[in-house]
Amino acid sequence: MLKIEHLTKIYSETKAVDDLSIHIQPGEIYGFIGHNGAGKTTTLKSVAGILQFNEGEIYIDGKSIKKEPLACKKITAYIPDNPDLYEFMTGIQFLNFVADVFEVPAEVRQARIHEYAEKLELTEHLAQSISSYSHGMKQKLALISGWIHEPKLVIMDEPFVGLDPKAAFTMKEMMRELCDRGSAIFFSTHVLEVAEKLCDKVAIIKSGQLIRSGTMEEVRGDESLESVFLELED
Amino acid sequence: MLKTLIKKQYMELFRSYFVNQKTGQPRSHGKVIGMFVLFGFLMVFSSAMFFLVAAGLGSSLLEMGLGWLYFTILGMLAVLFGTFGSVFNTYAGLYRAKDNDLLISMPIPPGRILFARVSGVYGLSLLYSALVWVPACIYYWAFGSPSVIAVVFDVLLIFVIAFFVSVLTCLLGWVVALIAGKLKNKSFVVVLITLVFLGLYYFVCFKMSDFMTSLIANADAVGNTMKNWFNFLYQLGHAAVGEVVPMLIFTVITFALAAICYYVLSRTFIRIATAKTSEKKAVYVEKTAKQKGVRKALFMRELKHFTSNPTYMLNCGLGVAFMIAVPVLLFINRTKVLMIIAMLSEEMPGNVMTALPLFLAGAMALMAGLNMISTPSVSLEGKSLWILRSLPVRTSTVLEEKANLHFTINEIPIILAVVVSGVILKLDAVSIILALLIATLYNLFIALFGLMMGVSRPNLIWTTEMQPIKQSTNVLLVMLVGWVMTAAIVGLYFLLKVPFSVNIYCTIWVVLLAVMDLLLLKWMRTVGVRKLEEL
Repeated sequence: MLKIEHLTKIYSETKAVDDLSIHIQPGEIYGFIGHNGAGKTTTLKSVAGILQFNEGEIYIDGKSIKKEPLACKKITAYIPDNPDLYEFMTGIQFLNFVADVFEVPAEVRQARIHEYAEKLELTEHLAQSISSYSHGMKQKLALISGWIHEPKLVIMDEPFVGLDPKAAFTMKEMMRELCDRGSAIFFSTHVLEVAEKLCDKVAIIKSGQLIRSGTMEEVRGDESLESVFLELED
Repeated sequence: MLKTLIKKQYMELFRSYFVNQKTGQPRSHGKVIGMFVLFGFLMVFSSAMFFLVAAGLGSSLLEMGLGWLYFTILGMLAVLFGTFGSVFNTYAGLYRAKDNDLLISMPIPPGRILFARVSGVYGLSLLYSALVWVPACIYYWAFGSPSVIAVVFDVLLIFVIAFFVSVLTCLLGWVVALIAGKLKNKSFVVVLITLVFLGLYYFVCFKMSDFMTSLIANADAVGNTMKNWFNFLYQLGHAAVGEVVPMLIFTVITFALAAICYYVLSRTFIRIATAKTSEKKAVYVEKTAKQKGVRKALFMRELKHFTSNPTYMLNCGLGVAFMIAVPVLLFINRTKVLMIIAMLSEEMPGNVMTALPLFLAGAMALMAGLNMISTPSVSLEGKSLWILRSLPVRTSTVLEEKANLHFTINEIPIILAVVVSGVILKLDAVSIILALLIATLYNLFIALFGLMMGVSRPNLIWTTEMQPIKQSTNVLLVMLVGWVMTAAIVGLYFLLKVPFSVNIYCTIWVVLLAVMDLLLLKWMRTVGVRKLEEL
């Protein structure tokens, strides 16, 4: 579903991401771990087609993000760590805007909005202006907007930040259900316990370079993910 | 602490001069100097226009020994221009700044936060009112007979007048904040209140001008009336020619008003700045939304952004109100206007009267040039730019729909104004069509040129939306280019004494504008797209 091949991104003279390669299969939840400034967000933004990169290639469902950005974006959803949404819209207006852009038929979108808004307990707030939303509510709205076109690949940057425990639990359920339907999820997190329980595979990045990746068992061996991560960081 | 807050406020005002808004990197010394040279040029250019106004008034009034009247009129103009320049900032700048919560959470007395915010309003008031007052003083110093004390007072009055302007604008911002917090559709209400205020203000000033004209004719007789009824302005005029008592009266009253204004504002600042809204919670009713195409969705998104923001509407769409007002006023006064035209036709044969379609097109261009909806639209994406970049939409489509909103909002009143005015002025069909074509293509030019500036020099890091909308060199540049273009469209006809008919002249402009529009469109679809994608 997602092939990152030798990705390199340079800011001024600093290599934010250095020759990074990751492959994610359909149905996989892939965790991306690293310290602050390790290059996680740069990688995720490059995959989402937001950032242009210097070297390497990114393929989504076999299509190059460089050569066919629209085709790639059509089947992808990106949810940033700090969802700055359109504060001049209401929640429902934003969802309809995103659904229009993804050309989701009216009946289908209504059903999906109903289902996800109910699950995340956002239904009664949908008519409110986004400017009145809390961080968690914005995160939920961004999540619904990401799910609204049933993407084949979801890219999420620190998705659990700001969510209450119940919403976090619901989100994990939604992630698993989506992947069970054949999609893939690539997300960054600092919460190692979540990564350990939720992810099929993980990758650890340090100073822009991939230092370990594979299934959870391959990466952690007999230790906890936390100890492996801390060891590798030293 | 206060010094730090004021410094922060002014850093926000002039941030774009020192920091590259695209990269967040500090500008080189050369670029900073270049930015200030450009700023200086714009200031000098605007001041030069007011110098001409001062010269027009001063040539007769100073000779008649009515220096005080000269300064009273120009003082009034300075207050008018200063208020016009900064009035739209106050509501957003005082109460809707993004860092209000942060500052309020710090151990800073709210009065100091307000003081720093008001100092920003004062800075803008000073900038705009000085554009009128300084050239007025220069003309007086050069061609009047000023005493040393008059020169000193004139310089001091630059700062005192700005205080008076700040009081007016802050009070308006406060009234708007009080009302807006309690209303639904507050954006439109804020726009309406401000337009009513401006309408009243212009009406009073318009009448004041009549009064001044009759005053010139009967200076002695109405001198006392002026003193009784317009004492404040009377004092300003006398202070400017070096009289001590009027200077004291004008200064003390202004500072007293400023103190009262600050007291009133400080009593309510925290409550208004932290109030979310008293709107009733909207209830979500589930229904099937009609599916829109991508273009329409993007257009509606732009429209929603524009109509949800009173600062955006007032600063970048005020010309629409003028364009609607012109045909209405023309219709109401049609008999008078037609009589004047008939009179002028007899007295001024030749190309002045035949140029009516050109004048009509020029008037529309002047008003359309006040609207710069597309210019700040890229900067206004701010931190939510990621949404457009991650969605499956062509960047060219995004830019096109930004230009489209600008074009559409202006074009509807342009068509209405040109057709109605053309019919009232009894122009033939060809002339109306040519005037309409020039106005339309000019409208497209401003939309595309504004977008070109917006995407080339974006400011995505702002604390209030006022910064990309109002405190932006882009907006000033686009306005300046628009004015030059309008002057060229109308002025060259007379300057070159063209040997062919006005219709042919208009046709040449239609072709020129169409070519410029095509070039800008091509730029937007190639370089513009690349620039936006690199942000």
